[in-house]
Amino acid sequence: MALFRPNDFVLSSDKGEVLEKLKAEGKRAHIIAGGTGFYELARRGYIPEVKTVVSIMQLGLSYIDHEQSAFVRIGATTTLQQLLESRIGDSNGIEAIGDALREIRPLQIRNVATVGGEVCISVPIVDLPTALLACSAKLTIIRAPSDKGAAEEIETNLDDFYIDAFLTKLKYGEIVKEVTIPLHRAEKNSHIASAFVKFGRTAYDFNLVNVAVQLSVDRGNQKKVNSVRIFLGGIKRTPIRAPEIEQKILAKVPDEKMITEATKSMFAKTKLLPSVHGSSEYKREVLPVVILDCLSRAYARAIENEQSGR
Amino acid sequence: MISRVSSIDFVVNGTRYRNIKVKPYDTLSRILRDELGLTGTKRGCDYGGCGACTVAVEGMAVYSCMYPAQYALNKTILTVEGLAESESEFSREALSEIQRSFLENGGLQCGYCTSGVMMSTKMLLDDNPNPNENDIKEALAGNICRCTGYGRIIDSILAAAKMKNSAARTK
Ligand SMILES: Cc1cc2nc3c(=O)[nH]c(=O)nc-3n(C[C@H](O)[C@H](O)[C@H](O)COP(=O)(O)OP(=O)(O)OC[C@H]3O[C@@H](n4cnc5c(N)ncnc54)[C@H](O)[C@@H]3O)c2cc1C
Ligand code: FES
Ligand code: FES
Repeated sequence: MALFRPNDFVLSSDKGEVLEKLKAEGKRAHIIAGGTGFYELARRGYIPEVKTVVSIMQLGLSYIDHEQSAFVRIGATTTLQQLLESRIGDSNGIEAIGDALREIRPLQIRNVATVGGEVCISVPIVDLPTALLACSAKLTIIRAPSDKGAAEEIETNLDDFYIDAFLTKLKYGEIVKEVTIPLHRAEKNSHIASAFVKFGRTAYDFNLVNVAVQLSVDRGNQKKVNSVRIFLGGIKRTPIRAPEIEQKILAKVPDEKMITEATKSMFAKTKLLPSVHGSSEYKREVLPVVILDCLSRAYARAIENEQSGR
Repeated sequence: MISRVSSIDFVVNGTRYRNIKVKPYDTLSRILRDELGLTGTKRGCDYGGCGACTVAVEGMAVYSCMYPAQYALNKTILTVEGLAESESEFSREALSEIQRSFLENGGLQCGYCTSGVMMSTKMLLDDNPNPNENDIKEALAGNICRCTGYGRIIDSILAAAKMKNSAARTK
């Protein structure tokens, strides 16, 4: 295995220069944020060709801005602990974010790992992306201009970002600048809530599977599900959406039988990503339970939000 | 400004170090151990799996085995050597309440995990002087111990909290 021996470590506060550097060096440069995943990649020999390590931690991308009440903008280098402590992920329909952050252990990691790193590392074992997907997050990506001028900014839905494990739509020289999540204050006809559930071998472990759900529930007597987004992590190489299950519960009051049957039929013939702690068969057995748990929590929260007028 | 970081100034356990050379692939644990000789910080797995390398950077617990050495630039670091009141004096009295409590309550066997566990304890008690058992388990989620079964570690931390609180009251 080739040793990881870069020549340079660049720590800069100048966005333009960082972007130029990344563009000029192409695959010889690699972005580092918190570094908690980076060293793992390096030591396993995944990035032997990298000669310049480019830190983005001084680019001023550590912020949580929700002055615009319709959404929250989270800078890419905001740490997981900063986001958790901000409590922005505990209400307004994005409770799945708070749930996911609390499940990311240990504190030594949350203190250093960043929101951008969680999104960009693209491995099945991470938790925050599943929750962000359920909450319809968008990414702002910046890249160096093709000729002199201001850096370009592109917006993309997180739904369109993942290609494979370790592979996203990011090209050399591009940086995820921020994550934007829509906030749902009390709405006229329905209440929105979300939840995230992780299932791992121990509380400290990576997930075997994780599930995030965001749904809206009809105001009034019926309490039917008006809209729903269900995402699953740990069962394929990237997080996936579960449209078959979503269809089954739309315009209904979800119940255990409905959810379990829909989940079983969706995965009856699919091989799920095995890991050392859980085979495909095992994951297929636990998945309906975890989905049921997550959907029930999100639904109960939506009802609770209605009753408390949130 | 693009800056290539090849040396750092930082404060470790109250001592200011200047112009410490760092290589582009160095982590904080290597610098602490090999350049400063502070070998109390252990190297276990070297990839975030065991917690033996836990130190505090600006009062936050981090794994020094995966903390880029360059990020320590101008930062204040605390390692297990900084817990005791006096580094040169090896007496029970010179130890911190946390160290004394681990000693008195059998909170260690081989001791390999202990410096990391004590650093997580220090960060916990600074934040929460009266932790319950669950708070302790949460704070120690990232510190693996092969020997003790954790029971004695938890007892040591509860006792350390008591010791610290009563010391604070008598001050
Ligand atoms: C022991 C351990 C336990 C963990 N447990 C969990 C867990 O339970 N759940 C969980 O979800 N996560 C967990 N993590 C964290 C997770 O695995 C990643 O390490 C972390 O999310 C990476 O964040 P970082 O800021 O450290 O990124 P880095 O390690 O710095 O970077 C990771 C990758 O993303 C790229 N990158 C980073 N930021 C950007 C950006 N803004 N734009 C473009 N590319 C970027 C880097 O180039 C690199 O390829 C754990 C990690 C460890 C080591
Ligand atoms: S040596 Fe750092 S976590 Fe094991
Ligand atoms: S005392 Fe031996 S590993 Fe904890």
